[in-house]
Amino acid sequence: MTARRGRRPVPRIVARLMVCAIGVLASGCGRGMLDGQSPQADRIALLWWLLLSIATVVFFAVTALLGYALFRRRGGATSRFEREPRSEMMFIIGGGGVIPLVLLVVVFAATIATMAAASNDGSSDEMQIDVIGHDFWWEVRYPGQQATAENVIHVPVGRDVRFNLKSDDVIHSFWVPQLNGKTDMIPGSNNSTVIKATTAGAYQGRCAEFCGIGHACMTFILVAEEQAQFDQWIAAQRARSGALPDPQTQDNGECVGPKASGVTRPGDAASARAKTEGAP
Amino acid sequence: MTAAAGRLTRAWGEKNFLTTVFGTVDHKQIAMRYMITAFVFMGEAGTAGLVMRTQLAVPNNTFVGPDHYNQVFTLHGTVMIFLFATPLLIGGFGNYFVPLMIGARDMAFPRLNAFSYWVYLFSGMLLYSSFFAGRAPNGGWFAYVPLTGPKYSPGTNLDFWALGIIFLGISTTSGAVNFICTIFKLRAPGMSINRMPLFVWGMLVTSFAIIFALPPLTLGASLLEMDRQFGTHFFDPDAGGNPLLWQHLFWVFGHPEVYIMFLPAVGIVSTIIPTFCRTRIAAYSLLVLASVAIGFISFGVWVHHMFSVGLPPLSLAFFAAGGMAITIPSGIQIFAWIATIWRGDIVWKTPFLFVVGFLVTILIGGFTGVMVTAVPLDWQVTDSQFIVAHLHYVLVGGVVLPIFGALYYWLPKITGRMLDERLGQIHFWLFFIGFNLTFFPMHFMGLFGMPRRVYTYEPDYGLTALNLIATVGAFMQAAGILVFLANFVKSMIRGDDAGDNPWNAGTLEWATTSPPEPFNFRDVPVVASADPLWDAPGETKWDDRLEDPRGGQREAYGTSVVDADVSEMLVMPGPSYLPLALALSMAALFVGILFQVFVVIAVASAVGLCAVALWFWPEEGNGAAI
Amino acid sequence: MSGGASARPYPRYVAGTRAPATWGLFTFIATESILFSLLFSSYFYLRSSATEWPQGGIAASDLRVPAINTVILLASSVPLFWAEHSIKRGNQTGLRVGFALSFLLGAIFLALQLREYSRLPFQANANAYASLYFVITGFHGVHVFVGMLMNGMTQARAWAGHFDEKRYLGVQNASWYWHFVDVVWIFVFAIVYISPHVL
Repeated sequence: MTARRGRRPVPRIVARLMVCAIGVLASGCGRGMLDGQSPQADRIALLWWLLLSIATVVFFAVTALLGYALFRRRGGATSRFEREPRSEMMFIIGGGGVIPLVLLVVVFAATIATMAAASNDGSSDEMQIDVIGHDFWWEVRYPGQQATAENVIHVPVGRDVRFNLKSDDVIHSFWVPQLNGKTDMIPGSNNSTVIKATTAGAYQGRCAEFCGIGHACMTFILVAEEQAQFDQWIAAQRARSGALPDPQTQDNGECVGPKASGVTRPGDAASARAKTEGAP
Repeated sequence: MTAAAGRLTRAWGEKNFLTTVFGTVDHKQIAMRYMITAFVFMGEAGTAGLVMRTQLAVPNNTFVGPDHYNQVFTLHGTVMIFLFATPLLIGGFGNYFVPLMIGARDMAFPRLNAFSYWVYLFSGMLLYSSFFAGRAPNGGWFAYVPLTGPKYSPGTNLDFWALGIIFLGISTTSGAVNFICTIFKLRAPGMSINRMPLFVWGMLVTSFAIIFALPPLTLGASLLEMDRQFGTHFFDPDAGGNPLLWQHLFWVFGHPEVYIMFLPAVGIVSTIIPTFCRTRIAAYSLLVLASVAIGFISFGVWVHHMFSVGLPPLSLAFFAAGGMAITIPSGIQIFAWIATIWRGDIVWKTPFLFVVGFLVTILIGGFTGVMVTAVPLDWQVTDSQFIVAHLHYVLVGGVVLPIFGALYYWLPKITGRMLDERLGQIHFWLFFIGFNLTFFPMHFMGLFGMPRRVYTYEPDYGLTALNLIATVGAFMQAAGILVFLANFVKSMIRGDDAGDNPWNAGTLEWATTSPPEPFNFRDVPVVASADPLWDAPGETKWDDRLEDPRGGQREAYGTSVVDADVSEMLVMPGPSYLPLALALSMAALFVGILFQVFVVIAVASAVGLCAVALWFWPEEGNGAAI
Repeated sequence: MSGGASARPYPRYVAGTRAPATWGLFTFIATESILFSLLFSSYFYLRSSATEWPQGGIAASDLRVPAINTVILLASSVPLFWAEHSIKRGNQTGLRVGFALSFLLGAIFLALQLREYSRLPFQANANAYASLYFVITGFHGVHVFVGMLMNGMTQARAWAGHFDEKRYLGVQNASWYWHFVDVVWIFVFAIVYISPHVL
């Protein structure tokens, strides 16, 4: 980071950008899907890096061909393509048809393999959590444990957790970028997704399907913690009377207080939560 | 003016000011109206884009609130797709240049053509009036139920949207019917189907795609409107409906719609490249096949917009494969263009610059396109800023860049004046760099977890710098467009005279004057190749038998569908107020439905029926032979 | 200057696929067919996730009147074949009588259909089944009505003497559209009326 922070924002932004650029390469920046903390997210990130590598190589190969075609020295002589129409057809069909086909077979195979891994059936001792989307908050229920929560989900680290996803009103989408892809919550149908957080921490989750005026504020925190802490938390939640509506949006659609997005360590979640609740 | 031209002008020209303004059926007049209207809409939707980027320039910004922001992004998407890109390409370029490129005197149904324009104009006004009433649609351009249903969007916002879309569909569909008939039946003698210019092929495939893709949109919007106004339950899960039905209907339209815009753009690229490489296009038949294949496959991939709704793995795999399959014909196109460039001698002019920009950006849009068909990756990136980046690389890089190329290429034919080269290059670089600055960072925003359609974000996401860069890029694009407008004004005031064929191009639109006379060609071309103007002198013949229109009628040849042998005489209708009357009565009908005023509905229907009856009542000596 | 009859050896009045208007009709029918197939797909899509069909305790439709209607509508195509055949031989009477007969049968069909609506124990806002029932049959009914308008227009033109053995494109296209509406009814009948009984 630059020294004179605060006084000249531009260099700071440039520096940030460079950090981010490096971060992207090292898959660290932004706590997004590339900074996976679950086997599911890791597999998807792996697919991303495969596709990105193929795309990068092909992009530079094709632009190099295009560049050569554009800027090659034209000494008045007719080009090879003009002299041999057959070679032109070979070039077009080979480069535009055969090579993409081969690459696509690879991509398709990788896709199918990743799909199986990322949407795994979970294990027999998987834990069940019901999450119900509302305008604009998350109702969380722990079946069999009589525990509820709003906008915060705690899970034990290292355990398969199946989220049963429903919606009470419009379509929402359940997304914790660091743990797995999106699963839509659709009124009238039941969806589910399995997540296994391998690292303890608090992860930003949010609604990814546009759901109306409070969409931008419809976030939640997913806290992965050791079993003992988790049990403690469940016990505390059990003492409550049940989930209460807790919209994160004011009537004009603006978010209630600052969003709790800056949390990456366990423990921060609680303070972030307090920050949210304590807002006017 | 020769005697023949005078006689033809009397038959094909307008009689007076009123008929010109309200009654013209000249495809060139109509096309120019399409272009101007589409550009006005682009200005408004582009401003909406700038509003969004301004709001997102810094975290926690308060430039616009969430309510306004939702209206703005809905209008931006809806207007750019439905009222700018599609009408500009099809109603504008298609209308002006398909008849010219096939050597015809007009479209097959000139009055239907005028009707298409008026409906487009009125439906656009209907959609936009909601904005000025402060009730703009706010459900996103794909308007997912139940959010857009009666329960969660009780105001009239979404009624404006649904009715506007249904109304506009009438225009698009009648336009597509017109293009198919024109291309099938009005090609110049000798222009067999394997000699059709590639832009015409693109328009033909696109028109068929419209014929098959518009019904799901119209049906979906109709069912939505019935749910909203008459209490039906198509999308209501509490009464046996299913919100996913909307998604299926919308995307069965929505995915082909991308190619409805892309195929004419590809046709433009295949037109510009040979002209500026001074050589015939490579692999003509493969390019035709590629367009047709893309048109077909585009109907089998709609589910890739719905990968996260919880479908069984087998159908996910099927639609992933379908989406990836589009890569093959697209790859063939790219390599055919590269081969053409390789073979040719390049003339670096602005239209070609835009096409090269297109080639680079469409590669990136294509790669991210494959990425979003890879199901698990799509689960992560869908509905994030990554998708915003992808779709703009396809639609701005793949469609708008060719549109600008086409404007520099074809405006001299339309106005008779050249555009300024230097300003054109400034326009290109501003727009191209601005475009990449805006949308390339969005890939990262999506990867970092920023969803689309959020009016704000927090500073500690690693997103601040990326968003600021994107905003700067957006204003650069706007600056590029302003340079284009300045260039256009300059060319109208003191642009160089274009002459008939300023680029030494090979297709028929360059065989006539710039701008063309009302009858397009004095004599009917009889062509012997795909690039008639590049043939040896005498290869293209000119048939002068229509120089003396019998009884001052608008005569044209009808030719056979495949070989384009002359088979009948057509007499085209002249100026008419009926298209305007019918479109107006339909506009009144839709407004009546919107506000549920039954008197208006009844009167409008009656007037509309009268207009239709008069329309199909042939006037002796001036009617289509129906 | 050239000109005269020798310069125009091509026919002025054509029908069938030589006429642009016929291609216009074909593409229009194509787009409408898609619309109907999507309505039918929507029917089965919603039905596939329903626990009972018809929903909400509605009884499956009584088949008697729809069956009679099917016969009436299919029969209405026959006079149109005859009318088209007649005008190709210059027989104006056959044209006029054929179209009038078909018009009459179409009107009876619509009247019976409206009578059915008025006797139904449910309305379109009852549930998704009811919505589908009304929208599919109603949408088809609108097409019958449009076909009748085309029929009326053609009759008026027939009386005005617009048609003869060379000029019959309008006759042909109006009757082809009517046949299309007929064929769609077979699907409507099979899907909306019969399928709840047998599937």
